Amino acid sequence: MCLGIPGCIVSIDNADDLVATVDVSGVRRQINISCVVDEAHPVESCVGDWVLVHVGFAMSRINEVEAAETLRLLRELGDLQAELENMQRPTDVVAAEEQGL
Amino acid sequence: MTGNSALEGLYPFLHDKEQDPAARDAGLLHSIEAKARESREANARFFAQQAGVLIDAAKAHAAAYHILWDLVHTLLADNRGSAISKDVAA
Amino acid sequence: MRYVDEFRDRAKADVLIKAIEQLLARMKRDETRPLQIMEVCGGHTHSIFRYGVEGMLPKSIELVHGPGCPVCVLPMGRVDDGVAIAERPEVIFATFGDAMRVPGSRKSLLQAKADGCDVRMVYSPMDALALARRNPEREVVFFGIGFETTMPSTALTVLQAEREGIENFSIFCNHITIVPTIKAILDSPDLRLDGFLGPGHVSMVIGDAPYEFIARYYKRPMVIAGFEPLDILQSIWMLLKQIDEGRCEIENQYTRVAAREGNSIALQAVARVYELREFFEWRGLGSIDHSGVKIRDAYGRFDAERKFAVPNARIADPKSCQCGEVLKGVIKPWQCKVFGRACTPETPLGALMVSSEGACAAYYQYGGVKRGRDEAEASVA
Repeated sequence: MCLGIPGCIVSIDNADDLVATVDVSGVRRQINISCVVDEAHPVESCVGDWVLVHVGFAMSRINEVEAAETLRLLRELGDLQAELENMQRPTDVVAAEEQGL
Repeated sequence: MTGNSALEGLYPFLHDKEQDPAARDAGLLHSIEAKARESREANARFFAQQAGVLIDAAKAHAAAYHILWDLVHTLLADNRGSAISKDVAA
Repeated sequence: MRYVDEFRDRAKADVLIKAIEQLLARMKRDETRPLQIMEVCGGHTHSIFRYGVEGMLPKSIELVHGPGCPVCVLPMGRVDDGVAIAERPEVIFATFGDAMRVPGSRKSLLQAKADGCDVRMVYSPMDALALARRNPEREVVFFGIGFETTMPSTALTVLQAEREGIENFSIFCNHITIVPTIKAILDSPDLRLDGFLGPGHVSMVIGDAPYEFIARYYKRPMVIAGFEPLDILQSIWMLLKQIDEGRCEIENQYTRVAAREGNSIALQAVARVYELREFFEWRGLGSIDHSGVKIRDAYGRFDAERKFAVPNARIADPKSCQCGEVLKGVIKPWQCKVFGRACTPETPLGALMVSSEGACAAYYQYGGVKRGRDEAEASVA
């Protein structure tokens, strides 16, 4: 019910009623784009934009910079994790040697 | 209409004015005083309005008590106390 | 798929789980009581079960599945009213698929369809408006359900109908708001929650600001979360970090979709078409003040409740049904007396078994039954 799916606007079909076609993973359908059209984003500029589609409406323009930032944070966390593991490894080796293993 | 005023319409409870603690305490004190005054007044009004009825009720109660007391005395006098003592002993 | 696949990466999930485990170890918590985190939104419940997120997490984190499934909290009386409208011969009753199997006291919409009513499943309220355009001699009624996420779509559809002068279209409005319900949950005395995963798609409409009271007055942290497994894991990690550092804030993990200020075009459409009801009845939770909307007088001709007299009866939930306790996180789905026995996805008794966003259906479908029973046996032994 509350789920949405990212799609890319491929054409504007009716600029008055703000109807556009989106491509969601190869599936195309008409949606309403009223919620993502404003002064900063006039209707003709929307083609190529990625939007979150919910029950036939584009509810939000997906922010490419923010998406990249979230992924960067995840990557950093992974790097940090690897670093922490590296830091712990020598200690284990020393401990094992001390125990005469 | 802006997005903000739309939010106010959707969630009125979020936009209740915040009170400063001093004003809240003053309000609370005022409310307690008013409640106490109201209670005192209700008490006074009740006794003022119902005084006659209450006195009559008290008199009737006293009279009934006297009748009962007289009856007990009469019974004790008639039996010289023996009947009651015997019942108790039994 | 772009913006989806990269948030399902298993290796990154493993990293996050390790980070969560390390954070938990450092927190030196009382091990006898698990950290209780509520995901408010049914979409999250669905993802959590679909990707087995619960099974990946350490045992000291307990996910409490909240009330955010609009189909599940719809009271029986409202389903009955919908069926009554659908039974009128002139009506085409259009609904999202989710709502078809919700049991009413007499029948579900699916049964009404089998009995000859013209009930149609649509993907969008705009599809229902198209039905009205194509069938001018019929009355098309759209079953409007959903939270703040879905409200703008029905509001915009009403505005479109007005622009086109379509008079044979109306909405049977059952839209509800999640924010007052979070407050009701926080006020409930039998609940101890340590934090919330915030509903990402509600937030893309309303923004961050309406949640501020949760951190300020109830001192609970919240992280607005996306719906992919990595989004959920990262949000749990962010919540733990807040708890560990003694912070209580409304943070946003889902910044790629949910902007801080929400969507003002969507909010304005909602405000134009809808106004608050004094209260709305939630299945399992009872009546909650200011938690539903109705169509304003100015758009009264698009209001199915005014167009057709509906019985508007209040029907009590079945006695054997414990949906309310599951919704509040007091019991787990598998602890309900009828779970998996009298109540299954094929023959649902309670609303939580109906939608895939309902906690019971999710447990049933994704093997939670076995896990739940195993845990129960382990705790007995």
